[in-house]
Amino acid sequence: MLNEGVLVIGGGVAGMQAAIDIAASGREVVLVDKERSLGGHVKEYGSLFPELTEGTLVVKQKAQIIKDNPKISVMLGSEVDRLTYADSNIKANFVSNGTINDQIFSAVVIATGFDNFEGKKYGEYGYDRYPGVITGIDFEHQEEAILKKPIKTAVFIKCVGSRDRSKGMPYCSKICCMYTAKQAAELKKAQPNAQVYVFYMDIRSNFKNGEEFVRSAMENQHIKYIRGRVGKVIPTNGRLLIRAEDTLMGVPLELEADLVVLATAMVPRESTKSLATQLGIKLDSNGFISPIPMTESENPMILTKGVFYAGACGFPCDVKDAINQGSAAAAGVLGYLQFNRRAAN
Amino acid sequence: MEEYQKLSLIDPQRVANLPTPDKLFLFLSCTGSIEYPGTERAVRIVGEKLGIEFIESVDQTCCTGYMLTCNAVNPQLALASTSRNLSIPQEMGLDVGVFCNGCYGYLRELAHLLHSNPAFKEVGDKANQALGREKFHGHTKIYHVQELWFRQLEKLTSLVKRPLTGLKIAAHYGCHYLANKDVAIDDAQYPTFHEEIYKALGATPVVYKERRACCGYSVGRGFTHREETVLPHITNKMLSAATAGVQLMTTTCPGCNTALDREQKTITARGNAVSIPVIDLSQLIAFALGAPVEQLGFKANTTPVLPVLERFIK
Amino acid sequence: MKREQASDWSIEFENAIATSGLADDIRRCISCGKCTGVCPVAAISPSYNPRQIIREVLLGNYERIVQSEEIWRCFWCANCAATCPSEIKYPLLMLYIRYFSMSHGAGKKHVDPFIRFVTKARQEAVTFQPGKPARLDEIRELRSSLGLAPLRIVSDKGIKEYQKLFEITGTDEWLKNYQETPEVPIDLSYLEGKILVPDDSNSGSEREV
Repeated sequence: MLNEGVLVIGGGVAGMQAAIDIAASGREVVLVDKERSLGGHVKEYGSLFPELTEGTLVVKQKAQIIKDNPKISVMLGSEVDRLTYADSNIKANFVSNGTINDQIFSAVVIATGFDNFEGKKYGEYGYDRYPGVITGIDFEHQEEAILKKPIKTAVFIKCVGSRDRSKGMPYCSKICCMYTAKQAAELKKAQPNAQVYVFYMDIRSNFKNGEEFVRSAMENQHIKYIRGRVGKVIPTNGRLLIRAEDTLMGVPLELEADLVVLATAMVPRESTKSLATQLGIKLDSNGFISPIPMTESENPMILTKGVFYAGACGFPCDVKDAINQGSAAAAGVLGYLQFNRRAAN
Repeated sequence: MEEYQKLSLIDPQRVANLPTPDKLFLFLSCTGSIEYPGTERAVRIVGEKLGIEFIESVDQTCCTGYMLTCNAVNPQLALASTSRNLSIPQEMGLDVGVFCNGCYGYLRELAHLLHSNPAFKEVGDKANQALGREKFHGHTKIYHVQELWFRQLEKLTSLVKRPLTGLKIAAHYGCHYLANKDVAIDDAQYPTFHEEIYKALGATPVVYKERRACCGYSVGRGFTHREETVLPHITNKMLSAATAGVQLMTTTCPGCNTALDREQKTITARGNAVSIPVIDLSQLIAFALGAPVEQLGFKANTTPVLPVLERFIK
Repeated sequence: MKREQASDWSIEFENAIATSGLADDIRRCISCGKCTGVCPVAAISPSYNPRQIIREVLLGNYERIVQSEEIWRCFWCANCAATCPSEIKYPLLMLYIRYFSMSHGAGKKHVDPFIRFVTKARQEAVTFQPGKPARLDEIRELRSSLGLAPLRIVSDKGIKEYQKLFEITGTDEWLKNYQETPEVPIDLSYLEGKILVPDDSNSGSEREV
């Protein structure tokens, strides 16, 4: 028997978009998220680069479409703990509010997202230990308070958990260059007298209008970019002493700051790993979902028969890219249900 | 003064994985034996209290690490002597306890090189063969005694006879211990387990700005670059400790102890008066556990130790 | 200072390091500068820059490295290795660079002070045992009062075996060669990130650093 319903795991922007596009065709969609509300990480972002759109507005708009479409049922506070093949269908085991039940679906979109790298894994930066050291995510959460509190000097440290083999994180997390430029500029706009430094290794702004956005932080907001990875943060005289090398000048330098923001990386989630392995889907060496080669797939987001992915569970991406991938996965699901699955039966 | 900030990254699992041996091979340190013999005595005293019997061997030679890192010998000599020295505890079926960061770092690093590079292993094996010794197999474990003390912190706490109430102590962990980041029980960038030991002894841990800074004496720069680099560096370090109100500093390496204790005289003579006694962590523990102070060899110190400890002696 | 000539670079050094088995992974360096940022020596003598030294090795400026005064400054504290995101064991690289430099006759003034320790250690299998009788008496007295052997003595067997190691590892030979190799004077120094190369008009004179 062919079941027609589709399961989307993860109610972040990628999963929301996938659900919206699949349901627009008239199919039944179940959208499940372990949290109490939709929107994933994006609902926590003050604003998104480079247009500075509020993260909550993006989530609100999509949530409204979902609410208005009776074909989408949302299961919050629920997790999928097991996926198994059942003929040409997929059986999902749900755990919600302590109860377990299962349901059969025709296709699944994995949009389980990412975790934020734990800042305290860098003992040298003193996150969780010295007051004044926060992560970029903390900045988004507490933006209002941070912008209000007078600061003489702020330091942004990039690549915290990116491009670091010693931490098992060899890859570039892609978005940190952009969100750091955004936060640095916001801080400087709120407090024009503050001195704001960004310590970077390379500036990777490969997004539409990304380069212009970063240049504007330097040229219009006078953010000082220093090429060098910070070696150490030491609490001293009630402030935070930064030690680093300015690698363009070849000189070790020291400066005192009141606020240190760690641009933490996006890391793969354990839940993605367990779902993927249950279906025999490969992960790359970093723990992200490994797509099948371009030359062998009919849709960019397909992983195996009836299983698709979207968003940062595949690799770090920005909000727009996550939404695009949600749409791409939806197109794949619809095509699969319309043609391939029928052909297979 | 920066308060000692809790939120330690000590890994309880790694601590639990450390053994509580009743017998260990004690690897003797040349610098320790000559500069601060009280350290060796203290290690035995603390070991005895914890039920660890230390066995030594008169056949054990210098670890040769110092000469290697000063580029004063052929590197193969260091590999061969590590292989030979470690074949001694191997023959006894004992793991090794070390009380010098230098010996610890070199033994571990060289044992690792012997183990990971077939060409290096051959140097070691050939040497042992030529001496009629068994090949070093690489299974012998090497511990720094400070780790073993921390493993039994509860027991140590229960044995304290002289609580060091109010004494402001600061740590110098030593680079060659912390460089072994794969084995450290703590975050090598911000270790706190010495501070935990101070607290267990009733003292007040103090964190100072240059706490993670090197002693400056490594690889003989104290001989070749003393004026240019070493003295300015140690001056910075000790002044930052003085500013933080440190009354006593501990080390876990006789080499570091030599640099930080002896050079204070010169630093003071050059106009930066500083007087912070520097002793080994094992000496501090032995003292708190009630060991007779004459047994701890503080006479060897250049910066007098007794003025800060006197009030705890009854 | 003339324009750098890439044709002067050589792969010899990088290859020699790769085959030494000591620091085979320096190609991982991403030139982030974390090492220099935490380096206690660079903090005092900024002309010493670990990141730039790795760069030099990778580019193949081995003539300059070999004759550099800077490579002798390192404390070997390993702060760089402990913090390196690319897991480069810089102290082992430094050890190798110094040996390499010595094989070209450089660095003698930085090694000579330690040869006396080696000579003594070869006799006693213990390093740093002082020679002065008064100091020895002091140590004997203190150690005896602590219930330790008056001096740390290695057994005759141990000493003989140690000496045998000097022989079979070629260390005796190596020391002989070292002492017979004439010293090549070091006259290069880094300055604020730039490396000074002797120019003909000014050869032999002391440079301001």
